[in-house]
Amino acid sequence: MKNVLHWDPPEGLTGVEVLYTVQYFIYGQKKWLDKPECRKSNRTYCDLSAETSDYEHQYYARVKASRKATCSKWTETGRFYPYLETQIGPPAVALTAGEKSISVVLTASEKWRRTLEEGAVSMQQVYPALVYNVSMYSPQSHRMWWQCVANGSLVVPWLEPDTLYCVRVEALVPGPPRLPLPSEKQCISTLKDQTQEWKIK
Amino acid sequence: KTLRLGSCVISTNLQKIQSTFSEIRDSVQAEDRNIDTRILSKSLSLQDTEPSDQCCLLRRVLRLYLERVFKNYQTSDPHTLRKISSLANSFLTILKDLRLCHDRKTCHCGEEAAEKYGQILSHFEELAPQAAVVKTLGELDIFLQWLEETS
Amino acid sequence: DGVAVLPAPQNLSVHSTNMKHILTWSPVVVPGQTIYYSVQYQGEYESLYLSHMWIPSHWDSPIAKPECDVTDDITATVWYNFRVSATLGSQTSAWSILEHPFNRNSTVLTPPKTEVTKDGSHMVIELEDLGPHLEFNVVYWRSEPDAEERSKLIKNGGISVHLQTMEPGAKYCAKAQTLVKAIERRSAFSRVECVEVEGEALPL
Repeated sequence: MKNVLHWDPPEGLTGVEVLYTVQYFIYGQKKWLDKPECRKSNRTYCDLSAETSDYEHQYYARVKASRKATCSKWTETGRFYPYLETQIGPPAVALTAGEKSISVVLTASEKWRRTLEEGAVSMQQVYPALVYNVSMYSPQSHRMWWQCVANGSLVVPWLEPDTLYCVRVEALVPGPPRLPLPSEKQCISTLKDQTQEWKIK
Repeated sequence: KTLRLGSCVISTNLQKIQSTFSEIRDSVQAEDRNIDTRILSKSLSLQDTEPSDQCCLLRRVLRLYLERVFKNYQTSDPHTLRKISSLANSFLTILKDLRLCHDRKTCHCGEEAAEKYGQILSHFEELAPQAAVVKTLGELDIFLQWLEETS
Repeated sequence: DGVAVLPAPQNLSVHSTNMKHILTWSPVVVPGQTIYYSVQYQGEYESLYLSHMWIPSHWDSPIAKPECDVTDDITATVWYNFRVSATLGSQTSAWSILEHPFNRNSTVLTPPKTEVTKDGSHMVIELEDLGPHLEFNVVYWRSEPDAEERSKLIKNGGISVHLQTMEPGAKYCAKAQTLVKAIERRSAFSRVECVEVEGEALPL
């Protein structure tokens, strides 16, 4: 739910000092609202997370450029529906290896918050039907596993001892398609087979 | 996906409908220039309606889409036409399922359903006909989210 | 403009297996010429509310063969009408309409081809990939008296799925059927396939 508006400078004015002003509009309400921090700013982005934090609403934003005494027309976005369009950040992934299994513990990412004093809200609370798509890959056997889990933990059994496995996790929520944001790949090796070692002694 | 509307329970492929609409959402919403009005406002939502009245409210809104929105939306683009047809025929399927609930007396129309649908209709009729059609179609993502939250 | 002297295509029919729907018709034959066809459809909604409206199949460009895959046009479990016309240069035939509307709930469902294998002590099954609409119910058990059957829902074919770990010396079997939620139907089961892990059970 961190919602940042981005835009490109006007054509032909790269390197020239151009200032930008941003406004936003709550769909169904009456007027465009100012964003003071993005008034006459030279940045080409504007963080509207606070202004669009009621994710049940839909929003528009618009930007205009100004230079000296002249300014451009407004350029407007399409309708933005944070609840349906925000990308869902990947969970934190903790792996623990067993001999023939790997345990995966997932902690949901947090919703954007204004200040740290604000209580943390997990994306699982925002999207009760959130599930995780856990994919595990074995570089040695080139085999891949998928598993969809609703709660935050999973044990992948029936693995080979002393073998490297790599895990990637993606959070999925029902609704229209969204841009995926999978976690970084994390790898771990299963432990050596203790029974083999017992026979060898 | 299973929709629970009081004691009326139906299943529908909501994900497929949502992804069909997402293919035409931007172009349809761009046609709606009356951004200061909203037909499906939050206070009228299905999920904030008494379960016993949800089925009836849903039936009426579905009929609004079938009889006045999909029917009157004008486009010459074949792709959009196909997506509208897909949405309309999917809505028709849901309406048929709700009719079964109605036959089994599990689709009661109470005061709340009548009141909320009345407000939706008055918002719809405040606008010029074609503007109302475009706006209501553009708000399909809101309506589908209502369905998502009753599932 | 093109006067309708070209005969209209005849014998339209829809052949549907595992949710893949093919519209076919008898070709219009003009010696030495290539005939092109246009396909349009109408869902139950259109026939109820917009009976004049016909929608071009997603195969926009004219088709040279007397068949058309209309799977992506049929997106709801309602009745669909189809019509086809033939074109030769500036000549266009009349539309020929499917005699009986088609509903995808009449599709023929066949069990998937399956391959049950063992990977070490693991029982693995691979199912034929039958397209995006189909899921599979796999039933598997250990071949012994009063065996307990277990089942697993597999969302798509074409990948190996781990069923269970097997004990040496025992035989394990599996069968699969095709499922289509959209029309609430399932196929017959495939033939049973078994695998066995050699050797004797390890002393505990």
